[in-house]
Amino acid sequence: MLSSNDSHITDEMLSAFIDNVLPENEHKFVEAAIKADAEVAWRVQSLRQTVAYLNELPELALPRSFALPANISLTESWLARQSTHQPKAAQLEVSTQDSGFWSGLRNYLQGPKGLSFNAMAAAIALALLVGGGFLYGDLLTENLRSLTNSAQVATTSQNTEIASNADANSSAGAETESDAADDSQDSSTIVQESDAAEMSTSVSVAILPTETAIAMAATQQNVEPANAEFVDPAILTPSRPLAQPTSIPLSTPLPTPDMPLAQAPAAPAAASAAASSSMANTVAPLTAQAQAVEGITDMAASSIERADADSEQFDSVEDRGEGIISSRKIDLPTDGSIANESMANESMETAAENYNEFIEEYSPTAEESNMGNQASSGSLESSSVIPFNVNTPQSAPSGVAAASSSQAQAAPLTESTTPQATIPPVELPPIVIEIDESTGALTGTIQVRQDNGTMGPLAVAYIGLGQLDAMTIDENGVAKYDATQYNESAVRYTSTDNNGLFIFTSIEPGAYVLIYNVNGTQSRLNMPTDIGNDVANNVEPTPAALVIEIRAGEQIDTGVLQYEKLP
Amino acid sequence: MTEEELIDSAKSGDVDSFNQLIYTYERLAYSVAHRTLRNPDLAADAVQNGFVKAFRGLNGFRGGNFRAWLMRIVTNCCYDILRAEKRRPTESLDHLLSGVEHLPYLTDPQESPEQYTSRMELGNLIETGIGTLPADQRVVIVLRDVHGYTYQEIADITQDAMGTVKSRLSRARGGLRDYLQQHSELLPETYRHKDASL
Repeated sequence: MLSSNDSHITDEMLSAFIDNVLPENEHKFVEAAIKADAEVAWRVQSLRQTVAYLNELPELALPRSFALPANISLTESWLARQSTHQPKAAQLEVSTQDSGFWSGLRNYLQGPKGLSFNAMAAAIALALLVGGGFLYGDLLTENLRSLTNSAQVATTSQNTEIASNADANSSAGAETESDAADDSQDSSTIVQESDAAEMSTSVSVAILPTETAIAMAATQQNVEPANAEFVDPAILTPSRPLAQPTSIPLSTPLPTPDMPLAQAPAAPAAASAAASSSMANTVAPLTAQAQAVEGITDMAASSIERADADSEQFDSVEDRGEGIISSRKIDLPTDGSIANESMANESMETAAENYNEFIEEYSPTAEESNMGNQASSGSLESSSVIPFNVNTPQSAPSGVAAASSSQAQAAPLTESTTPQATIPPVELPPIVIEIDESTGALTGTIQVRQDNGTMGPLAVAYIGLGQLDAMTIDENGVAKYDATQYNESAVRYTSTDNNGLFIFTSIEPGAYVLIYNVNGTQSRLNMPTDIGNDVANNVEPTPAALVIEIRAGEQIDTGVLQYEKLP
Repeated sequence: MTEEELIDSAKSGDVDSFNQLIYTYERLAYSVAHRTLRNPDLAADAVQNGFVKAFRGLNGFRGGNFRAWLMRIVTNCCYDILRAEKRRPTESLDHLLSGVEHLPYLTDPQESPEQYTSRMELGNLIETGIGTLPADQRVVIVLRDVHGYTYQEIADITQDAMGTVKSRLSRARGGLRDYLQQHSELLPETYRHKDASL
């Protein structure tokens, strides 16, 4: 006789019961129920049998050994080559390895047949330029140089367009994608136009056009941007870095900060226009110019056709929307300090557009803004703070603004006549997350000052997410969270990867703080401060509490959080 | 050398020492990855990438349970792949050609062909049942019931709260039980008991 008198005994209780992890009183209760109720007895028995089957599952045979080779290269390229299925964590890579020429050439030739052949075609055409000059004189030489320029410019557009069209599911949505496309059209002027003093405290950042990504890496590593080595975008093929040929001499100057891409010298207007439009549009001028020099040699024609085919391949990539992340939403502190100036600089155009939207939705009175500043600059443990992404536009301190502006002017969008500096890998992790309508997601990257003085990722570290208690309304009617009021026993943890990237998914809407856990000791992460500027001005940094508000259906990306040191 | 000594040596860049650690845990890692991803190639990718990442990030290991730390990296690689596959679903033609009888189980020379066949059928049924569970439940049930991890270790690996682990494990066991019940012709009488009574 079966009955279900103890139907309130859940499977979770029974599961814990068979593992002997149920509290003693509940354990006895279940034992009694088993004796009294055949239904409960059957449920326990069937669960036990299920576990027994699982315990007896045969051991799987290894397909191969996973031992690492003795000469393992500890770069992302190794990972990328090993896996044909792995998400392409390093979509853009600039190798810092100073390996030999033949090694570099071998890696180059073994890589995917993608954009690299664009560069190959351009290089061959460039070589023919020299030989062709003997036969056809200066006029023909100029034609071919134009072709080379247009191929480079078009390839730049390909990279940036893939970045901008990558993911329709991005939290920033279609509007931000179009912003990103706009950014890519004029990536050379983005840094120039940046001005932290005018920055909104909540902006959408279009992920990086190639040159800007390199500039960002150079800035992060304290490499003098003007000396940064430029890399042909065509060589920066997805998932495959090059060990050696990371740069080629530029036949023409790259656009300077005060010279928009469309006006770059020696770049034909038609080609520049094509570069700033969609990839499909770049095929036509490429092909037309290829036909112009088709009669030079069969080799040149073959190279051009290959470049053309690669362009079509890029079209298909765009169609799949599998490029780099299209956009990030980054929130900036109320005091105007920003974690990553390059990223912020790049986002200025979209920031300006989003500014008005935020003004309409969240703009408090001037009095409230001042109160927010006071709160964020006060004592951490006692102050309440305004939620992370519900901030007010605020002029940055003049020192910050000046520093940002000067650095922006020094952005490396000028030709490097003698490439000298090496550039660390630029990695854009795939952090587009499937989000359901009821929860949100949070991503970000944490960097910390390394022993060698450079900023490096906080790799494989425990990062927690602590939910704050309910918002309180102060005597002035301003809603605030207290960053110290979170349940330490209910912190949800993840670990950063080797790039310092952390991802939280399925987050219930609410306000959260980030927790750094070292050996079981929880420490709340504050807002990164503009340490460099503070040091330059001999001012003690004044970190503010970092509060992140998660909303249903949204993915928040904090961007790169850089810390001089962690708690 | 002890595990701690191997870790210290590997931290200094000794690949051989790290490989000693790999030999210890590669079966475990591959088993979890295979049963999480349901694809041997993807599982191999996840394990290999996980080991490489672990080697690269070994200096970030600050002591404690190395097995849990390593498995967390491998598990995260599995999740990365699952996310990527979800964005770009693909169907391998090889998967269509390979029947369930080709699961890469180790063979036991002591057992008869009949016993082997029976074991394979039961194993395949359970593996298929595991495959019907959500990925987060798959990880938990494999770690707990196949490999015997403690609740705390699973919580460390998955970075979830203990309560979440218990809940997922319960749902996974219940889901698998229901699946087996629907295919009870290969199972003992236990699984038909409830049906007969209803």
